[in-house]
Amino acid sequence: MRRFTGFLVAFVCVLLLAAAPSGAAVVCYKCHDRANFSAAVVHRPVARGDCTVCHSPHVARNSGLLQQEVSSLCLGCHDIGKEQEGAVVVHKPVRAGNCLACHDPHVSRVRGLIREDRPGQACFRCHEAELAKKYKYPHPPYAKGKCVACHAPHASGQFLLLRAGTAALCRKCHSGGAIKAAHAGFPVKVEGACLSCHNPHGSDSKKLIKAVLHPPYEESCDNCHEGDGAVTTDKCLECHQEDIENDLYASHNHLVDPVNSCVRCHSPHASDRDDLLRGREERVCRPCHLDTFARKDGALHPHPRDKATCKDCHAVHGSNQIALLKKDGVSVCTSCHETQGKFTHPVGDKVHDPRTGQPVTCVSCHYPHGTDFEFNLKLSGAKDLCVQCHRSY
Amino acid sequence: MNWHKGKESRRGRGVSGLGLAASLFLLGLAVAVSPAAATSWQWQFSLKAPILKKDSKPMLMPAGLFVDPARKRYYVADTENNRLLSFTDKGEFLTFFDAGKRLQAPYDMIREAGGVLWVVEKGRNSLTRIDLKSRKLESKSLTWDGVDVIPHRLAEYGDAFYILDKKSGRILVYTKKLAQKNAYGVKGFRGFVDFKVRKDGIWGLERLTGTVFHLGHDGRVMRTIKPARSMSFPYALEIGPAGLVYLVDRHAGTVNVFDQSGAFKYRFLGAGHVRGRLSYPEEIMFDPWGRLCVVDSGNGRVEVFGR
Repeated sequence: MRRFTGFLVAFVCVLLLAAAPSGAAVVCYKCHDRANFSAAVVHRPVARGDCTVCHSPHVARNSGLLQQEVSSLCLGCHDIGKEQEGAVVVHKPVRAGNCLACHDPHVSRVRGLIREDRPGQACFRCHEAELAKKYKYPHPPYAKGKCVACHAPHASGQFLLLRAGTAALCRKCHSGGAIKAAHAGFPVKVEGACLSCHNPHGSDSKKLIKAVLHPPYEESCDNCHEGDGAVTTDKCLECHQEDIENDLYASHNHLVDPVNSCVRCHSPHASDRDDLLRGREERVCRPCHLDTFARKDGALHPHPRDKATCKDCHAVHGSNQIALLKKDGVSVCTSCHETQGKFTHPVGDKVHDPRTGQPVTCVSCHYPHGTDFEFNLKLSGAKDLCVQCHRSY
Repeated sequence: MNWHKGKESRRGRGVSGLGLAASLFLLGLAVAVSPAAATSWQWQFSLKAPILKKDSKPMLMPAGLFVDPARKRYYVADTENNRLLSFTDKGEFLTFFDAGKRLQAPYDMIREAGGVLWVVEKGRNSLTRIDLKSRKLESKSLTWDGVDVIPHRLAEYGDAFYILDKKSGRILVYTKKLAQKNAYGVKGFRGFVDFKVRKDGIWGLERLTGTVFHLGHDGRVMRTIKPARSMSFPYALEIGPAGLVYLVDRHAGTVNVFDQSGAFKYRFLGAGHVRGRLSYPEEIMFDPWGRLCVVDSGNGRVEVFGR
């Protein structure tokens, strides 16, 4: 019996030791309120009381006494490399190594240590401005804050961080039969083109139809579709030739698709924008201009920093300027940078760049999507850039 | 520079055999690792409009180059100045021609033996015939099966014009009298952004993807070349004398060379404004003298490289 009691005492001691925080945590909790470190979901090192896995108790180079920078620290245990393999889009906080934008490193009420008190809050913290808060007819996953039902939070091979192409993604909930039945009599197969008419978050119209309808679509499919053949650029030009004729006959136009260039950017059916664009400009332009966005995203000094859009600088249908700029390389910049228009290094037609003989413009020295140099300079402004022309200095 | 003359050469006689061998080894190593060694391309000269007078204009966004081997001339479409410029085969500027200020955004051109110019005028959306002798200019709007064509690139092969239609992305072939003859494209492709016509067929560069299609003159796809190295914005194409594929990356300002299996061989140049750097390059072609010419649109010049 004595022997059994001894075993029992030893077993209970082991259990108590296992459940109690380690020595490190016990010391930490003397100052840091233990209540802040308990919740439904607890980060494994916190549960183990192993604070020193991430924090240095004495001194550190990083704020929060972290052993390393946040991204290095997290990626040391959490390998998300596989998620990024073949990714077309990497979520901005992931790119910036800012794991804490979405995750709490200690505890959370939600699986995945997501920083939120209600579903979707972590996403809305950044994406609130671009998403309507309420729709008359919300899409259920959106209404429930289940953003991750459709979007991958780290990286994706699809634009908009979608988990799959629209055809496959929508079919996860909406069966092929139901889709066919809902679109009976349509001139072409609708599968995969859901976003051409429907807003996947919600709408004030039934069936999640987007707010602005293309008038011919509103009237009848037959206005554009003839049989099941493709609707070509020429069909669009039947009505819109005059609107964009000058742009089409510029030295550089934006005809980019052998079948229909217009619908690469515009929805021929419905949109939530008056210009019938398929989405925000960034979403529309990015798929073809991945490299430009990558340069901007990767630049230490990106430009523009604010909510400026592509169309603020570029004539998107066609232009006689380089890079489809709206105006020459001075006027397009001074429309925002007014001061520089009045006080600057000499620029204009009468000032020739010694490297090329071309008129000196803002773009002679600055790269408009951003660089690793201050003021978006193409090279260091301390010397390297200036001596390209001013050699005697 | 002659390295065998002058003081340096005489001083060099005192260098020991071992030192000389080491120097040669290091020199060889330096040459081997430099990009120039991989490519061996050397800048020869630039085709530029000279600034002789106060009102002289540099070239602005030149877009097209034509080389006339018989007359030993380069012709450049100076698009934004609405003129054509001619140069000798040594790169010396000869003259400019604006058809009495009637040209509108000339983008590409060819010169026929009889002194007739055919110019793609973007501003008019036309193929314009200019008879230099009679000083007659005729703008012709092209159609294909009754639909307007937006001419982009122009080439002459045999007794026909090959025209890249920017709208359909296809290469359309017309007789010299501009009668519809043949069209080249690939099922499901994204359209061509540049092309070259050769004896062995037509080589077309697909928009954005960098894929090169080699079509027979009968339109069959004989080979599809998918470059093994990705590029930012492949925009112009040339097929070298040895069959290598030269692709211009417009945003990166580079020339990327691949073999016909798509394997990457080498890359040279880069984005910028100094000599040997490109800004929005528009076209690439070998001239009849084996030199590689790149229309450097953003820098207002044509850069000519030789081996």
